[in-house]
Amino acid sequence: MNIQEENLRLVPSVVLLSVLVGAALLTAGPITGETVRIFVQSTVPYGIIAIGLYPVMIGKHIDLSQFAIADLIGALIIVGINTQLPIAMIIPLVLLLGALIGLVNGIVVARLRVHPILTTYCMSLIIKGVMFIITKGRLVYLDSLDFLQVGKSTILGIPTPVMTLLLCFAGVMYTVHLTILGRKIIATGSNGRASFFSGIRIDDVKIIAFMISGSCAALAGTMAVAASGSVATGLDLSVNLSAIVIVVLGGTDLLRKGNPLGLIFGLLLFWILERSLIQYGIDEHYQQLFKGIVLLMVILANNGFHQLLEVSRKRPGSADEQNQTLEHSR
Amino acid sequence: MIRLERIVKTFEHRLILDHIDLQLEKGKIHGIIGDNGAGKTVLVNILSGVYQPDQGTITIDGKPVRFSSPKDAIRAGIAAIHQETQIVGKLTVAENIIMGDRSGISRSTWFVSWKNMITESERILNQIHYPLDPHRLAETLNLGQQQILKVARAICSSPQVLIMDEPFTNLSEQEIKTFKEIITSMQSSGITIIYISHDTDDILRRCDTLTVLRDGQVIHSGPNSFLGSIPPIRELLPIQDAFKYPRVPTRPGRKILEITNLKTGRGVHDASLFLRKGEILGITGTLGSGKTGIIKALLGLERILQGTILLDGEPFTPKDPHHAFSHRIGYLPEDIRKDWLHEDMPFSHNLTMSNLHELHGRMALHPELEAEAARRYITSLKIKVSRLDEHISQLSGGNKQKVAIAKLLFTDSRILILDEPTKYLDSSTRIDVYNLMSKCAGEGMAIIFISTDERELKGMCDRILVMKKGTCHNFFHRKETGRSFPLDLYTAPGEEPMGQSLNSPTRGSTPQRMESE
Repeated sequence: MNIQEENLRLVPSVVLLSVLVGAALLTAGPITGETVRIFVQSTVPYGIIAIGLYPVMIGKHIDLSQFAIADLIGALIIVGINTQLPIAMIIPLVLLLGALIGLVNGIVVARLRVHPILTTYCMSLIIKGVMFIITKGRLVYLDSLDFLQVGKSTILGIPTPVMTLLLCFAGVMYTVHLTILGRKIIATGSNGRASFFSGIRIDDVKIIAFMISGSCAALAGTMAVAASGSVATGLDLSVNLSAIVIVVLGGTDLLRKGNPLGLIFGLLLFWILERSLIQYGIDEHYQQLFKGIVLLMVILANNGFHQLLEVSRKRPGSADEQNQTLEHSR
Repeated sequence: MIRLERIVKTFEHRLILDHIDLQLEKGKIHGIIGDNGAGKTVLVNILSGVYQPDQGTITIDGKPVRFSSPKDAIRAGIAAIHQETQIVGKLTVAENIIMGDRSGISRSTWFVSWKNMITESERILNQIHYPLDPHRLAETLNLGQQQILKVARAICSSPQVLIMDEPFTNLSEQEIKTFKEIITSMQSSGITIIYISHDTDDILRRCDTLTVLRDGQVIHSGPNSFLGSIPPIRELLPIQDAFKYPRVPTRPGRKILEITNLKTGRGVHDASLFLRKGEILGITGTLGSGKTGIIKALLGLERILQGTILLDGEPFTPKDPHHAFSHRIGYLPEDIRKDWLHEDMPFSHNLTMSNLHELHGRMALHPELEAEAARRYITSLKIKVSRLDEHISQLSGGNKQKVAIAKLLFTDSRILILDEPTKYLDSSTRIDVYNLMSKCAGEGMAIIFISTDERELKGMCDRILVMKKGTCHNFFHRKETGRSFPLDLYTAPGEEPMGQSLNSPTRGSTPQRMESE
């Protein structure tokens, strides 16, 4: 019953989503498979970053170093492939590296008690610094374009990047909502002191959340390279902030606990919004402006809708009889 | 004259206040009593504008009023000291007092006049004859002083009506006395006082009129007849003394925990005790006596400088609460809202939090097992919840305490440490808790029962340890024959000063904080 209420909160997002999709279909003319593919591929990294952020935000923390991790991992993959290392070796290694960076973030936040915003922002500066040293400030490209085939291949008819995204989503959601670890993450976010006294090692829980975020960022970096073949674009902090927006759009914010379906909606909404602004032919200079306004409106609508729900729940007489009361007769 | 007519309030389809009628005359002390969950606190919240009634009217001097926020109520001259009113520890006494209402100290909307703030707060403190240094940080005050600070804040807006919800919880005898003097002096200056409590003896003596609430209804309202000892009110109030402490004596088993010459960094200088299976050991003492220090050491929150802890004969050096739990030592903190429950999580998730492994199937948490456990405890502890996934924040105080205890029992610990488990409870819920303790002891669990209530300690414990200045001051054993303990706990013979203490109760009596996160 509670889950249903949580889902109701998404109604404004869903409405906006369908309006945007409808409008996009009407105005955009024929959509070819190719444009969809390119579009999806270029936005998969955002999605994976947002998924990785989800457990961290449920624990009432934030990770601003993900974009830097993704960037560094992208560069390392390119360097690795160019020096003829086998891909099967590179990918596990870079994922491990992502988790390690998350571990450091987690230790600094949980054990040394530095605020997560400071910690992860400084970490992003450090990583960017390391990356400059590795690339010497130049753009790095893949020498051979074989790796790009990964981005174009399909698994069971689904493009590999999308499949990766889905697996990532399933993995994180399983961990957060169905395992002991996940329950502990939620509890720690809800009341750290109480969790500590309940026998949860909250430092460890926080550290693991940051490790999940780090490895997801690494995966996002891998997908970015598979899509473009370079780290030419250079991800920046705005990617991270977008990821936060996606998670918040999905109904998780720093005050409430999360909702798995919400993340998917948040992601779709963000994609479509980004896409449709281009589709409508809105001037590039105005796109940012529009995006900001629309996102703010959706978030406001979400909150307002939530309050409406609360009010209607508290009003007497609006009882839905399905509520089976376990209350004991007095 | 304040009149409440046909006030109705529901939460989540549960009727909390059921057509309440109430008349409150000016300049009197009005007592409202009732069990936990009877609707006392909700009534206070309606009077002070926190909640709005679903139906019914409030009139002041014949004029109907409608408060849409606490600010409206304050403007109408009604101030409240809520159970949960928070003192901001990092602000000074003066800032805490003036917090709500700056009108008296400054004409400007934007700027604060610090000088006026100090003089104004001094004036208010003088008014209640309780001098406190306005520059002091609120977190350095002890609980009693903080309670008085709340009063000072409430009368800052010079209210006509002052509502006090359970003002005496946490206070020592001496502080209660001071507090009562303050109440009397306020009444003589013409302030109407509405006074909510479940401590029946106390309230009966003080009030001019008395209202008894049960299950959201007024079952008695009128002049206080306690002075004449008229029986009807006694009957309305729940408890007969004989059933208060339902301890079934058990034969203690082998020693399960033994502490010798324990010395910790703070608070405990030299403490030795043992605990046997099936036994309830009471630990008492004033603030700073080291009674919580021993427990902190057992949970690994305090470094052990000297001494040993033997658990089942094996040396045990606790590292953190997790470590203690894994050795089946369960601890129920005093402040369950802050340190034990997750208010925005469902009831069932709260219940199982400390023993999640119990629910784990092959791949994932098993929601069916969880629901089954939840139902089991709802029945056995008579917890009132409307759904298994109802958030804890929506339960009444007594129910929260029951959930807290259920959560502790679910850990399947063999040593239970209960830190003031009955402090916020009314007498009928208390008895439920005592029954549970008795049952657990009967099943062979060993219980450490920390309390400052002498009656309940004497009623429930096999032995009572009185701590003083970080050492074990005295042990009392239940007499073989009767239920009674031989002596008055606090003024035992052989009492002598135990040397200089680091925690003299007058000065450094800030509540010792448990190590946070």
